Amino acid sequence: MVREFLSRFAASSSAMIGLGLLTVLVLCAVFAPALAPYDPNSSDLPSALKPPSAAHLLGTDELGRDILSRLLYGARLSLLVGVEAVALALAVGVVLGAVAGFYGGKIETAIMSVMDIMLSFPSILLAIAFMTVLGRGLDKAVIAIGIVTVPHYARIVRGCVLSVKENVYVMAARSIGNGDGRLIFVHILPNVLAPIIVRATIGVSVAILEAAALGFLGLGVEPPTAEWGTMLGSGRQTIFNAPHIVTFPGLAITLTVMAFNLLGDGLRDVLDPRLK
Amino acid sequence: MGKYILRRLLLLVPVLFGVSLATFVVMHSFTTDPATIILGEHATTDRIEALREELGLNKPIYVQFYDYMKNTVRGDLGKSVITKTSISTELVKRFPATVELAVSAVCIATVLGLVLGVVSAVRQNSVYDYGAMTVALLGVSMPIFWLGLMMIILFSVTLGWLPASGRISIGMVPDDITGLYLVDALLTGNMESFRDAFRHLIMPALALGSYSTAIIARMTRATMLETIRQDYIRTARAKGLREGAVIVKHALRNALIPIVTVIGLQMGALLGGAVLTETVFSWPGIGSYVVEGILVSDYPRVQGAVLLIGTVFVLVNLIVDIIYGYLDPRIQHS
Repeated sequence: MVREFLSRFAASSSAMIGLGLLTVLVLCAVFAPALAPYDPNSSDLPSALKPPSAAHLLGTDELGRDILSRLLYGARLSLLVGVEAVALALAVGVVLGAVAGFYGGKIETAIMSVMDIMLSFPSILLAIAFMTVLGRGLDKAVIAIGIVTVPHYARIVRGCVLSVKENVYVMAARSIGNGDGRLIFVHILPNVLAPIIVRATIGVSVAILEAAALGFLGLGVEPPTAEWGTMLGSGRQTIFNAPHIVTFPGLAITLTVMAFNLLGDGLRDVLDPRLK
Repeated sequence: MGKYILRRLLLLVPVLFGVSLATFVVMHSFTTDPATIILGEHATTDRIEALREELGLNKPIYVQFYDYMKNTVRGDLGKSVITKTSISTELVKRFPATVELAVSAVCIATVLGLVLGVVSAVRQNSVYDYGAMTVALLGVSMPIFWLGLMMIILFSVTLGWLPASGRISIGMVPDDITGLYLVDALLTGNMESFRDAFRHLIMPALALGSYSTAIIARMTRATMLETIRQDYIRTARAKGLREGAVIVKHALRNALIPIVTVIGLQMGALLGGAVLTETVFSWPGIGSYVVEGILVSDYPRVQGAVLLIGTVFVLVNLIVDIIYGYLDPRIQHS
């Protein structure tokens, strides 16, 4: 089965391009200290707002900091925020969705109503509202984005559990005396993993975009931390005389989000052709 | 159908109550006291206490919620703590700007998305297909605020074709009828204002619509690929219909249901995206009002605007559900 998965995965061009891009990004993030030509936070006012040159390949920002170095360090934050936010949303969303789908009745109504109310707000707006309450900071952005995306996972998991729980093997597992928890986590969830994995992969790209948006609005990390969205937000003021400051962080975000989207699309084709 | 709409309207009451409660709870979980935020940390205790009294923050939380609901139902969302102006009045004034932007973006996204999707499905695995799907991939991957900034750099800074910000030039505002500048300019026959407002609208609407264009294009392609393999399409071709008629009247019509669902869902993304697009283009709508409110910690302002956007979102979803019934007679709303 693993071999079949791998060969189908290798045959999917979007999955392979996504994986390739992602590998490069992860390597950049991991080896940022070795790759970065300058300290990402050391400012050098005389060489502020310089366009790309041999000394600074991607130019410098309004404080004379090297943009390439800041982008490399920023890759760590963006990837981390994306993965952590999805992990949080998954942990909560899978449990809520599974419980709602498995038990049905009032529990289901209660859980799904809360999810529906959360879905009544555009997610970025809800994330902004949470950030207003929680305050700035990376860990808070993770919590805000994680919370607002919980309903996406809860809905998918509930739907899948509903379709699987009446199967004969679940009934068989129950008849030999398995408890509810074991039924849900050992017998039902592993059989609905495919759509969850696909959604989570694409979810990382959504989380990265939302984190960048929070940063852009000035609700992200505290300065001087190098974060892509925040770099874009602060570069906005100098867009007329130094457009390179906003160009490169945006490109970095686009490439990263594209990598996860391609990987997600590829995984969907490989894991669950019905979803195509 | 009438009964269904009535029931859905009644169901709106608990949902909107939930939306108001959620907004209230989030906004009142401020870790820092709003009065302290407004007056600054160095304010005297007396002044903070006086402001807390004025804002009603000393009352028990359930009384605060009751007051808030009572006023909200009457359409009174309170006063901005910074400018002291009525939030409802300000929202009413800014609402048409957001509507104009969001509706334009939906129109652009629907037309572009359908065209891209249909072309790539009909010419599957051709250069057109790969081209359209690459555009769609870029659309879902680019942050809209970055796309907006890139457009400003290209079309305003470099080429000088379009204005970089605002909704209309000074002195060009048409007579107020609907608050939608394009519509008002047309109604009053003021073509100069129309052109000016249109030039201001192009970039924000394109930027805001980019993500939805991509989603609609992908969905259209997927459903069209399924429908054009159906037997009734072969029948339509066999009886000698022109290819154009087969695609539009037979295939697209039947592929529309999932596409309309996606367009409906995009309204939410658009309202969220408006927050970012309005900030980039200094568009005087609800979105920029929220962001300004957050930056100055004006929490009644954020609360009012979030509540308004949530309500609009819920209403839009209801309208989308009703449209299904008309598009597909098989869907029985009972």
